[in-house]
Amino acid sequence: MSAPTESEQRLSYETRDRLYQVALYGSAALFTFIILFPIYWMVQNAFTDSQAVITEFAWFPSPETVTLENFSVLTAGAVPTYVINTIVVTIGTIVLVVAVSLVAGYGMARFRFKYKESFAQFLLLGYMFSPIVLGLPLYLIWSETGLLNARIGLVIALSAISMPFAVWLMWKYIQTIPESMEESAWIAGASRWRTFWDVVVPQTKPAIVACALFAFAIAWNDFTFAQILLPSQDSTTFAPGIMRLIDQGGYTSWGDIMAVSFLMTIPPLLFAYFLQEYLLKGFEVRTR
Amino acid sequence: MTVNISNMTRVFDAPDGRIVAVDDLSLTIDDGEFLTLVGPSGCGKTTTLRCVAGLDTPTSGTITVDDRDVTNLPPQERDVALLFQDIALYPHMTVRENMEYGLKIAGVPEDERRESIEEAADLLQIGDQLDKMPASLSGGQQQRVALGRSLVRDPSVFLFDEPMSDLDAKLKRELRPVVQRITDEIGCPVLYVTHDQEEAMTMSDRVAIMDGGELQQAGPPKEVYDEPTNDFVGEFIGQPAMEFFDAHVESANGTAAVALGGHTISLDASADQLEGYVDRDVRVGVRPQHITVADATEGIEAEHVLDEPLGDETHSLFETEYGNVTVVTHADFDGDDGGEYGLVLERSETQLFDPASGVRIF
Amino acid sequence: MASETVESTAATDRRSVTERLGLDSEAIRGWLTVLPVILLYLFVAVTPIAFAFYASLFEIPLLAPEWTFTGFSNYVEVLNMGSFWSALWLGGLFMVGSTVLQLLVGLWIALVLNKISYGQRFLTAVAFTAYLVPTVIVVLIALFMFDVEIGVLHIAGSNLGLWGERTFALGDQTWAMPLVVLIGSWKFSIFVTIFTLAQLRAIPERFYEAAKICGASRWEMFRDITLPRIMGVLLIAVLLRAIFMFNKFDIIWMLTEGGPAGATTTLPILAYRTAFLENSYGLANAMAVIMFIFLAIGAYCYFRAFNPAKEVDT
Repeated sequence: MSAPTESEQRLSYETRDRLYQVALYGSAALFTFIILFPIYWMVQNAFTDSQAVITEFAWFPSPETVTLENFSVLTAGAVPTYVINTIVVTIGTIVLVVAVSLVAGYGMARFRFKYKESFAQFLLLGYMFSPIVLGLPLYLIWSETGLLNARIGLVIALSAISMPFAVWLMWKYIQTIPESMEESAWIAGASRWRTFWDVVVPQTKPAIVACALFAFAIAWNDFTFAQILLPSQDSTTFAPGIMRLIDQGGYTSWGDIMAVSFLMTIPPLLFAYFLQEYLLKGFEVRTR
Repeated sequence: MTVNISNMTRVFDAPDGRIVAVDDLSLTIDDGEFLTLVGPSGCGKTTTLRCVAGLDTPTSGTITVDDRDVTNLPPQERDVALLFQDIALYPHMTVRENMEYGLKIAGVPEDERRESIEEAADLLQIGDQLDKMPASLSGGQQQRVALGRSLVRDPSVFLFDEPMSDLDAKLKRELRPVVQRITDEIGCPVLYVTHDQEEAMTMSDRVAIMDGGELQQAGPPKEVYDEPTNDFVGEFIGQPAMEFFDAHVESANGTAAVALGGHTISLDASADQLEGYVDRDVRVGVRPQHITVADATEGIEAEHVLDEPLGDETHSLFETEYGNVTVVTHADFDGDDGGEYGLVLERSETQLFDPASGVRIF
Repeated sequence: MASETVESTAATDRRSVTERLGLDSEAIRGWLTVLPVILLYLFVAVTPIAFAFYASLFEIPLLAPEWTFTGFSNYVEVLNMGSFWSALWLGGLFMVGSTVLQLLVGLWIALVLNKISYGQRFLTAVAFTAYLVPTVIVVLIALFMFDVEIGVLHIAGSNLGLWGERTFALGDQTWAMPLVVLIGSWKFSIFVTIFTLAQLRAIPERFYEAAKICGASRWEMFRDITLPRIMGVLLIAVLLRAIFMFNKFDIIWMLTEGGPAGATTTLPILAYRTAFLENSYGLANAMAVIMFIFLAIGAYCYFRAFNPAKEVDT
C-alpha cells in the first residue's frame, strides 16, 4: 500500500487523477464482467439449440443455432409444476410477511407496553435462525401436523425467518410518520382501525415494498426448507425439484435448464433495476 | 357551547418519579370566545389542550362541553377540531381529499361535501389548489388547508396547538387575521396554545398564562399586561421583558416609597395600602418602556453596554448593580460604550412584587 | 375543605380505574399486534429447537419412527465421530474463507460503486442482481460452466492446467472446496456491498470537502473519514456473514452434496446426510442442537458487540 502512495506523490496531480479514474472504472468493468458473464452465458445458451449447446462451443450466439425451442420445457414434464409452486409459495410468503409485519410494526411504534424492548431483542434473535437447524426438527413436527408436503407449511416457515427484518423495518418506518396525522384523523371521528387503513398504511408504501422485496428474495431463493419440508417430488418447488431431476439423471439438457433458469431470473433482474432504492433503504434499516 | 375545565390535574409517570404536568387547573371558555393558553415550554399548556381534545385523559378533574361530561370520551366522540403544530396534512391525499376526510367519516353525501369544501376554499383563498398534493404547497398554504379541514367540519370546539411556531414572522402576521376570521365564522369556543406572547396578545379575547402546570392569570390582553398578578406574568407578557430591581419599602409621612440604588421613589400609595411590607424588601418591576436614561447624577447608576436600533425605537442595554437592564430609548439614542448614565424609573408605572411568592402587591 | 377532599378522592379513584384499564387495554392491544409474530417464532423456531433437543435424546430411525430413549449417548456418539470433527474443520475453513473473500470483494465493490459517476444506477442493479438471483440458478449455471464436456470454465481451467481435461472440477478433491467458496462468494459478496453502500452514501460530502481543503490524499481520506464511518457496519456484516456461512447448507449441497469423498461436508451437510440418508434422525438432531449452540454463541457475540438494545429505545 505504501509503495504506490509514494510513487503517486511524485506524479503530477493530473496523472494521479487519471490513474485513479482508470483504477476506478477498471474495477467497475471487472466486477460487472464477473457478475454479468455467468448471466450472459445462461441467456446465450437459453436461446441456443439444445443440441448445439453440448456439441458446438461458441462465445456468441449465431443465427443458425438461435431458437426459442428450449422454452418448451415450461409446457411439459414436472418443471412447470415446480415453477408454479415456487410462485405460489413466494406470493403467499410476501402476503403473510407484509400483513403480519405491518400490524406488528404499527403496534410496536404506537402502543406502549411492558417488555417491548425485550421483545425487540427476541426479534433480532431471528437473524440467527438457520434453515438447516430449524428444518431438521421441523420435518417431524410438520409431518405430525400435516404440514409436510403442503405449500402452506413452507410459507409459514419462510415467513418466520423473514420476520426479524420485516418487523424491524416496519417499526422503524412507522416511527417516522408523525403521530399527529393519526390524531388528526381520530379527532375527525375515524376509528383507530380506520385510521390505520386510511392514514398509516398508504404512507408505509415504501416500507411495504422493501418488506415484500426481502420476503421475495427469501422465498424465491429458498432451497433448504423446501428440500426438507416438501420431500414429495410432485409438491416441491423449483430449486429442490430441478436438483432432484438432475440427480436422477433424468435431466441433462443444458439448453432447457438454462432456459428455465433464465425465466426464473427475470423477476429478480427487474426488481434489481427498478426497485433498488427500496432495497437500499431496507438494508439501511437492517444495519441498525 | 361552553368549555369548562375544572380542577384538572394530569400526572405522568416518569422513570425518575412523577411529573405533574397540569396542577388543579380550572378554566372556562365561553361560546365564541378566543382564549389563548400561553406559557414557556413544559408549562402544561399542550397537555391541557390534549386533554380537551381527548388525546390525553386527566388524572383527576373534569372537562365539560356545555353540560356534557367529556372527560373520558375518546377523541372521535368529542366533535372538536385541532390544528397541529406540524400541520399534519395527509401527504398521500390531495388538498380536497384532506379537507373532505372528516366529512367522509361522518357520512356526509358527496355533493354536500363538495359544496362546503369549495365554500371553505374560497374563504381561505385556496380554491385553485384543491387538486394539488400538500407537499407542493407553501407553508402558508398548508396552514390554510389545515384550517379549511377544520372549518368544513363545523366543530363545537376549536383547538390550536402552536400552529404557527414553525412559520416566519411575515407569514404569521399574514395568517393571524385568517385564523380570526375562520374562528369568528365558526363561532365556537377557541382554545389556542402558544408560547409566543405576541400571538397571544394580538389574537385573543382572553389570555391565560400558565407556568409549572399552574394557571397564573387569565384575563383580557390589556388586563394581564397592565395588572399582572405576579412577577412571572409581568415578565412573560410584554416585549422587551419587564425589568426587576430589589428594593426596600419605606414610609414617609404616611406615603409609601421604595428605596433602591441609593435614592427613593415615592409611590401613589399610602403606607397603609402596603400594610405589612413597610420596612421590608420587595421587588420593583418596571417595563423597559417606562425607564428613562438620564445623567449619571440621577437614578440608578448604569454603564452603557450596547444599542440595538430597531428603526422606530432603540433597545439599549445597561449594566447595573441589579444585573443587565434593557431600556427602550428614542430611535436616535446613541450611547457611549462604557459611558456612565442614570436610569430613572417612571413613578406611576412601577409595580411591587412580594420577593418570596412573586405576587404583585401594588 | 372536607367536601373538596372527598371530591378529589372520588376523582382519583375513577381515574385510577380508567388508568389501569387504559394501560391494560393499551398493553393488550400492543401485545395483540405482535402476537402473530410470536406465534410464528414459537411455531417455527422455539418449538423446533426444543423438539430437536428432546429428539436428540432418542434413537429414531426415520423410516420406522420408533423412539428409543438413549439419554445423551447421541452426543457421545457425535463427539466420537471422526466425520463430525472433519466436518467441523471443513465448516470452519469454508466459513473463514468465504467471510474473508466476501468482505474484501464486497467492500471493494461498494467503494467503487460509491465513487463512480457514470453508470451508477446500472452497476448498482448489477450488484443487486447477484444478490437476488436464486442460489439454485447460481448453482445450475456453475454446474453448466464446469461441465466436463462443454463447460466454459472447465475448458478455461484445463487449458490453464489447473485440472485435467476429463476432471470434473467440483468433483475434484483439491478443487471442490475452493470452488464452492468462490461460487458462494459470487452471490454473497454483494451482501457486504449493499450493507456498506447505504452507510457510505450517508457520509456527508462536506467531510471530504473539508479534508480536501486540508490537502488530504485519497488514501488519507479513506483511512480517516470513510473507514471509521463504516467500521461498525463492516463488523456487523462480518459477524452475520460468518454465522450465515457456518450454517450454509443449500449452495454446498446443490453443488457437491458434500463430496467428493466428504471434501465439502460441513456440519449442516453432515446433519442432513445423517437424518435423511443414514436414517438416524435422533443423531441428526443432536448435531442440530450442537449447531444451535454455535449459533447461540454467535448471537451472544452479536448482542455483546453491538448492543442492539441501544437501538431499541430510539
